[in-house]
Amino acid sequence: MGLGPSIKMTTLHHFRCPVTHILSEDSDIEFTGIIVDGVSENCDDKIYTAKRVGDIARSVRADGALVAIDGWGNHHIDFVNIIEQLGIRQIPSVGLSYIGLQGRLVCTNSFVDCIIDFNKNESGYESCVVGQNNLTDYDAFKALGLLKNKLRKAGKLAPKKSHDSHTISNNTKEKRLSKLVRKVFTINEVSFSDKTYISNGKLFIEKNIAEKYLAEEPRIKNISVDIIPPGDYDRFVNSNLDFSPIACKINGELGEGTTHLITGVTLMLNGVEDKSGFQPSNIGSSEGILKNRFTPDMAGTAASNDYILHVDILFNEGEGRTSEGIYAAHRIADRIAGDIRRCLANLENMAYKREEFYDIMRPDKPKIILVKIVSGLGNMYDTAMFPYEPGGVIGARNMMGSKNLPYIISPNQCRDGVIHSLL
Amino acid sequence: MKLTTKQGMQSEIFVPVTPKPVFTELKKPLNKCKVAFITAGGIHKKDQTPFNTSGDFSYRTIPFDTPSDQLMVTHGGFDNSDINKDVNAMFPIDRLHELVKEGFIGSLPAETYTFMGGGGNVEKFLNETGPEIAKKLKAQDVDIVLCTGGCGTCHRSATIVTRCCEEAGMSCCVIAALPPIARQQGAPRITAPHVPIGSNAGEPHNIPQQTAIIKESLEWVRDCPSFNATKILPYEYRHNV
Repeated sequence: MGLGPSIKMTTLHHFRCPVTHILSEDSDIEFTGIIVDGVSENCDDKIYTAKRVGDIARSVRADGALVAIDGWGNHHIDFVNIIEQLGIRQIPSVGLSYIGLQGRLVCTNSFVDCIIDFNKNESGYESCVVGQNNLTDYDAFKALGLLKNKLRKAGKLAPKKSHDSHTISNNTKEKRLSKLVRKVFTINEVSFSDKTYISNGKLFIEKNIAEKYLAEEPRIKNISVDIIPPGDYDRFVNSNLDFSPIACKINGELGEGTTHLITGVTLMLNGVEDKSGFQPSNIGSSEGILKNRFTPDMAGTAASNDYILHVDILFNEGEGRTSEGIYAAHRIADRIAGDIRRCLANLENMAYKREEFYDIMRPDKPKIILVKIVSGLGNMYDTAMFPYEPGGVIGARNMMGSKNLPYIISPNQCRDGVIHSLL
Repeated sequence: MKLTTKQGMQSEIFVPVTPKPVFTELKKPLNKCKVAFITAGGIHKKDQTPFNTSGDFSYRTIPFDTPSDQLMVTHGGFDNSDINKDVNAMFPIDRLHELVKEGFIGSLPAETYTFMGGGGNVEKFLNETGPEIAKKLKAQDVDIVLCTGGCGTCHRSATIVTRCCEEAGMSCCVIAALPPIARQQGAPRITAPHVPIGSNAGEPHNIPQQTAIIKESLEWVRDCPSFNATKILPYEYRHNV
């Protein structure tokens, strides 16, 4: 995931992606798809993958693009190259990046003419507060507004209608493609018990839920699981590895069919190394008193009225800085979520909120794509695609191992958790 | 400089503009030159205070007779595993001693300076750290300065300090894994092997490759026709995935 704690896009962030949300809401455009491109550590590969993003964008006949990234420095080579490759193919774009002072562009080109800086901090330097400098709905809204202006100038979008003509747009040409049904179950209370189950809006967690998974991961020394009630943040936590949703697939592949999702509980994964005390991180770690170390209510963090299921990993010395160690931690969190998913799969007698999402074709509207640039630098600094379960990691292909070649995914696949952030 | 974060406020963001040219022509044959090697890659002696990975403009003094096994890296933002295997991948101190023995270069200064350029404060590097390192190298009668950097902002910090050295009258070259950054930030001369960030000076333990990268970079210091010119080096190395 991202470079420093404050800008990193967690698994939960991609699951609730603000740009995907804003693009899906706008009926002036067709949200054609999302290209997910990994950041490489070789400059040649950065340039190569940027060209492939351009090719895909042209092949889907994109009229415009939003390009979002959660890194800076070397990541910005990928960022400006992608904007350039889109521009060469006559696809205007608007970038979304953390800039501030620390993330000032290290290089640029003549196609980079419009960037939303989602820095939220007066200092302009990354902080150790997870979520503080995250991309929000408001940033996405601004970016889309600017992109629509660019499209109007290019004659690809009809001019704005004046305020007095409130004609409802004619959507007869709209065609719904795949459908995703999400049943959202609200949990009001979480407590420990002798087994894991859900009953009457209460989630009970087996006291020793993690014990059985420890032996499978030789790089991990210990796992502790904690329930943090809403707002009870006056406690020490180790460096954050991820926030993720608890959801399970009932039928269909990720991005279609039915998903059960819990609301009111968010999984938080943290960790530290044994003996050395090393806190896994890239640019600054986020250990400390929880209330000072994360911004609640962001797309990528727990809501302030959520219970936090806190999984804390003690890595064997040295394993907090290997990709294998970091993967092991994420697998453990996925397995713990798996125990809850098994209960979630059989919740027919509990009330839920039903949500439906469609990937929509609008042949008479400009086609807009979102390009998500995610980390694929390896070591502990990677992204995994297409897990078995929404927001999980088991079964997923890691970006670096796939040589950071771009994927194209549908908006529904994004909101069904096909992107998993590692660290 | 304080940033405003008022909601809805439109602002202009910093766009890098290549700074004014700096260029010091090399007027001696390589085998008469005193060659220093600096790095923004976070290398320091094991007994020195590690760098702060979230941004640090301090530097460490490394005597050139330090055995390479007493050096280590503290740097976030890229895979450190190559440097952990062989510090020469970023800071080729053993290769430089060999080049002196071979007579390819004249000598090495008594000491050099290393820093961690990732996320570095541009103004501090430009106005404090850079000029200070340049002054200390110049005081040792250094003719040539080679430089490496790890991550992206690290290449920027590396280039800023290298420019300070060039301005102080030494002939310098950035060995870049990310040449677009070195070019845009105004490095006087650039060589670019095909390597991942973190292994600018070549594959760990690949002595012939590391030697060739340094030799060709030194030759580029001698032959480079003008400011900011890049020479792509024909050496390729990738991490095994």
